[in-house]
Amino acid sequence: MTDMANPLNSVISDGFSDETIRRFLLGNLSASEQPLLEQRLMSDIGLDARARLIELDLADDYACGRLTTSDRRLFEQRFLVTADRQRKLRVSELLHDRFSFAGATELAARPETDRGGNRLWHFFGLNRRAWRIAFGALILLILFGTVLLVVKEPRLAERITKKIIPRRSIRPAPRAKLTIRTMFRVRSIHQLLLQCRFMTQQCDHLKPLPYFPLHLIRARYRR
Amino acid sequence: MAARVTRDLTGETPVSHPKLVGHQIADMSPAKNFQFLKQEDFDRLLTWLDSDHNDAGLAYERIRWRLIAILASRGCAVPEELADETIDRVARRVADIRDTYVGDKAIYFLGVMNNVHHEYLKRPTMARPPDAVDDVEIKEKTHLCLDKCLDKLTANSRRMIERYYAADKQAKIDLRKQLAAESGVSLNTLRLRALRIREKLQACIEQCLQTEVL
Repeated sequence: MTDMANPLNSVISDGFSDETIRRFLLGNLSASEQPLLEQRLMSDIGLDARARLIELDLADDYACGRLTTSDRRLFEQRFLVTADRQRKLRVSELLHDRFSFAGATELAARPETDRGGNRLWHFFGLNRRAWRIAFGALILLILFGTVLLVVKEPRLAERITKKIIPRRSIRPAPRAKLTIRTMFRVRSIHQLLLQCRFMTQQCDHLKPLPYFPLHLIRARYRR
Repeated sequence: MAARVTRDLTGETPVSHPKLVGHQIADMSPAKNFQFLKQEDFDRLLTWLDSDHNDAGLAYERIRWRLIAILASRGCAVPEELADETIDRVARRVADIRDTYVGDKAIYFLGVMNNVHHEYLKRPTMARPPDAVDDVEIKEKTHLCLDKCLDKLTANSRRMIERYYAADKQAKIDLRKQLAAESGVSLNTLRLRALRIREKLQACIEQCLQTEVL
C-alpha cells in the first residue's frame, strides 16, 4: 500500500488534513473552515471514512492520555456527546488496559544495543522487503555464476586449484637454531651488564666487543 | 436514547430509528413541530436514497453519522436527537421532492439540518440529566465481548492490535516505529491498518453487546 493511497495521509486530494478533521471532531474549527468541511463531509465518502477512523484515533488518544489539556476538555464537552462515541472510548480504554503492560514488558526485555542496531537497520531501510529480495537474488546469482564457471570452464577451475594448492603447501621457515656460540655471546653481554651496573667506575677498562655498543652503556651508567 | 432496532436492511448493520409510528418515545426531540414518523414515509425515504435495500440502509446510516458528527462539532449537546429529527423531516418531504430534486441527496439533509439546528439554538437550554447506566456491568460485558471479538481476528491482526495498543507514551512510539519497520510500512500506513482492525473490532463488540443485551 502506498502512502498516496492512504486515506490517513496528512494532506490529500480532498484538501483537509488529519489535523483539520481532528479539530472538526473536537468542535474547534474556525468559522470559515467549518461550513466547508461540513459540505464536503456530506458529499465525500472518502472524507467520511477518514473522519470515522480519526474518531477512533481520538478516542485512543484520550484513553492513553495523549491529548493536551485543552483538547481533553474539548473531547469531554464536544466529542463525547453521543452514545456511539462513548462506546468507542470504552473499547479504547479496554484495549489500552489490556495490552499496555504486555508491550512495556516486551520493550523492556529488548537490550538497548538491539534497539540501537534496529534503528540503524531501519534507518537505511534494510528491513524493506525489496532489499531482502534483492539480497536473496544477489546471493543466488553469485552461486549460480560460480557453479556455471566451474562446470563450463574446467580448465579455469583447474588453474585456480593449481594456484591455490601449492601456496597452501608452503611451510614456514624453521626458526634459527640457538647455537652454543650465540648462547655464549648472550651470556657474556649479560655478565658485562651486571658488572657495569655494580662497578660503574671499572667499566672503562673493558674492551668493546665488535657486536656490543659498550660506549653507550658506559655513557648511560656514568650519568 | 430510546433507539430501537426496527429492521435489518443490510444483514449486518441494523437500521434503527427511534421515532417510528406506534413506538412510545422517552426522549422528545428539542426541535419544534415534533411528529411521529410513519412507516411508509420511512420506507419511501430508503427507496429514495437507493433502490437497493441494502445500499439504502448503508446510505441512511452514513448520512445519520455525518449529521451527528456535524451537530456535535457545532457544540450541540443532543446531536443524535437533532439528526433523527432532520431525517424525520426529510422523510416526510420525500413524497414532494423525489421527482423534482436534482443533486446530491445528502446535501439536502444538510440544508434541513441547518434549520433544525437553528430552531434548537433558539430554544431555552434544558439541562439534560446524564444517562443512568450501570457502568460496571457494561464494562464487564464489553470485556467479555472484547475477548470474543479478539478471538475472531486473524493471528496477524490480533498481534498487530496487541502491539499497537501496547506500552505508554514514548515506549509506545518506539514500539510502533519498530512494528512499522518490521512490517516494512510507514507509521501512517501502520496506523491506518491498526485503525481498520480497530473499526472491525468496534463493530464486532457492538454487535456482541446487542446480542448480550437482547
